[in-house]
Amino acid sequence: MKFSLNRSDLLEPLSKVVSVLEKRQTLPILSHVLVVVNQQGITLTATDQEVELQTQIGFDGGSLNIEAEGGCALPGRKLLEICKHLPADARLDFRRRDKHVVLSSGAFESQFSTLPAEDFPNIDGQGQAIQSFRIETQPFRQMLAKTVFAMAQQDVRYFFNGMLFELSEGAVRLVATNGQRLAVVSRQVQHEGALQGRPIVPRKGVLELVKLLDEVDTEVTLSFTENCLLVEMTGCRFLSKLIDGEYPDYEKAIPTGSDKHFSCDRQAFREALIRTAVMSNEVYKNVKLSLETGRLSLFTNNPLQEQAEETLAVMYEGDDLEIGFNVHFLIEALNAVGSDVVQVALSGQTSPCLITDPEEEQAQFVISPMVI
Amino acid sequence: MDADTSQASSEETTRKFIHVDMDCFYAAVEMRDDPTLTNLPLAIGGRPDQRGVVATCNYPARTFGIHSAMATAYARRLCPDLIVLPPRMAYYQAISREIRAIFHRYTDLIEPISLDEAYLDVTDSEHCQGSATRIAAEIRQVIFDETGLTASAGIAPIKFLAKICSDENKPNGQFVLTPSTVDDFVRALPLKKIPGVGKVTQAKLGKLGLITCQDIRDFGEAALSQHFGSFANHLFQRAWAHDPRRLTTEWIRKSVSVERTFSEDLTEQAEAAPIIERLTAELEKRLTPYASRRIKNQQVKLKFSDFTQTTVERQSDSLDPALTQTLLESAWDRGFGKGVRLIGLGVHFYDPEPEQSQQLALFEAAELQGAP
Repeated sequence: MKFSLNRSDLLEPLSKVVSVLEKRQTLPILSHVLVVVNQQGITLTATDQEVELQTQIGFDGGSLNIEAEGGCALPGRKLLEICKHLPADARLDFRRRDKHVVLSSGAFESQFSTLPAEDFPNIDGQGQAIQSFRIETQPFRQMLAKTVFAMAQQDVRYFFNGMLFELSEGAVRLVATNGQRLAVVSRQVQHEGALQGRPIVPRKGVLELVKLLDEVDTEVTLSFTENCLLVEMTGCRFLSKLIDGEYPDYEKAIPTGSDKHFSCDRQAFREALIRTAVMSNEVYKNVKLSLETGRLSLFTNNPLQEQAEETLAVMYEGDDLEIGFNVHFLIEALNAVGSDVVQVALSGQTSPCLITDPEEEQAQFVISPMVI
Repeated sequence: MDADTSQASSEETTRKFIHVDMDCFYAAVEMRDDPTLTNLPLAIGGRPDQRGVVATCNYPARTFGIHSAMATAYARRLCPDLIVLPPRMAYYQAISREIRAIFHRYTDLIEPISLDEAYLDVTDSEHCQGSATRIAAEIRQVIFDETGLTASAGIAPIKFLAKICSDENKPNGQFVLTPSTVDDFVRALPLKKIPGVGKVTQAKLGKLGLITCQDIRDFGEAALSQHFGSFANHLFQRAWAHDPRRLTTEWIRKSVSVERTFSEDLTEQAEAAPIIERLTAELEKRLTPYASRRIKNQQVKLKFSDFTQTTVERQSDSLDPALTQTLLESAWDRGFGKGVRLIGLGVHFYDPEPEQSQQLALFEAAELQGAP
């Protein structure tokens, strides 16, 4: 293995894959990046055994020069640190020296330990893609942003620590919940062949995907095999294992018979909640909403007998209702809605509320109340 | 029994705890207000079409297997004629306050667990010649006379046993453990009755052949801790009837007052005006931390030159200067011309609202068992 290239052509593909590495690994090789050099160029791969990211460095940049093919695993963070701190216009020379790899650049020389390429634990994503669809990056990124916050973290009901991709003819629906609040958003997609299924992508896979999409602006193709999600973008290929489990019937959690509907300015509601949240009980994070014709009052207090309240003008006509919520669940849902006006449907003190954008029915946010 | 445990127990058995538990409280309130409901299956909770859950149900409903925390929709399947009423929390809170006021006639050592449950420590009570059994009976009778609701009680020298006892003769009954009967009772006590032992722990204990507290005593703490870690100590303590906890009562301020003694007695009411003004300002300042408390009444206290004193108070929801003037006049008149050596101003508060918050879930536990 012997090749050289400009620092600028290596830095971005390398830092992308290194971001996948876990800070603490169970196996030494999981701190390594697999470097494979062949006629196509260089492929960098990193994995934490749940997700795997591959980036490609081709000859388009004009700086890559390969003298000998080969492959091995190199310590990812060390390699990145050194590259980062070399001059912007540095030329990097890599060559094998026995069991080591030597990187030299000008007067600088470093020697890396290596692990054999054969030992690299690639995720087996080679199975036949059963489901595949294309989606424009921008709207897909928005869909993820509207749902990602609602996933659970380290819940024993492990399927909550992930996102449901509900695939159906011509459409994809993303669903995330922690069992107390729920976010659902759907969108039309293009696909060839049948589209159907309910794969669950684990939290880490979703979060990495969100990061990757930030830098891509055309469209992406998502393919699901039996046990993996495969996403291909220009210059990189992302794999995530799927969670093996049956996602609960989330549709039952979306209230349908609500009889109290109000709408109001989203920002005003959100900011009032953020202010009143300061005085809410540190344990329960509760806020009490009192709804009456034309107005909504927010009230929080805590055991120190501190309190905050605010009244907002809302479009509402109907019976009075007092209901409690985790104030952060409300704020996060209002962040996700994104519209100027927000619509809230309620029915009773112990029934979940539904928050929607009146102009866009594709996104729904459900929050279960607190009994205060 | 080893020496340590026996010593600890004898020290503990000198206390007298009463655990008062209202019988199906929310349902009982609704049946009291509408007696036609009495013999019909009744649940208080969220509506079935809104994914509500049963908060409380009456005994006719319980014969169908309905219990609290069950989905209302599921309860309706068990009993299609089930009447479901929405909870009226503010109303229940008001009744709970009445009941707490009754407790206060007997002791100030009260630990409310929820709206319908409280521990009382009557160790030092002089009511009923200090008989906890008779105090409990009297409290239950007074609750019934004044609210029309029935309560059950458990009386025991150890806190956690009092709670277990209140369940023994439910509804509308009580059960007493005297210090001499504690040991026999605890030996035979099924472990599942110990607070903190849920279904999972119970199953784990069952696998080891541990059913009663006697079984745990025989098993030994060392062996137990191999299976239950730090929880073993808790179990072992309880199995030896050891629970050193007293009540967790929060000291709650009932009033705020300020007063001033004069170097020379006042003889004319007019001389009091600037003093009242200063005292009012001082009282207002002292009231600021209690902004969330509801003021119940306002009073003026005078001490006369002969050291007799009088207090005049009137209902008021705020500190009202006009009312202070009225109260001062009627207090002054009671002195029949005697000089005034001290003026005090104060307010009494209502008891603070009991605090409890519970986040409701979006999914039934049963719905989440689909996953492997």
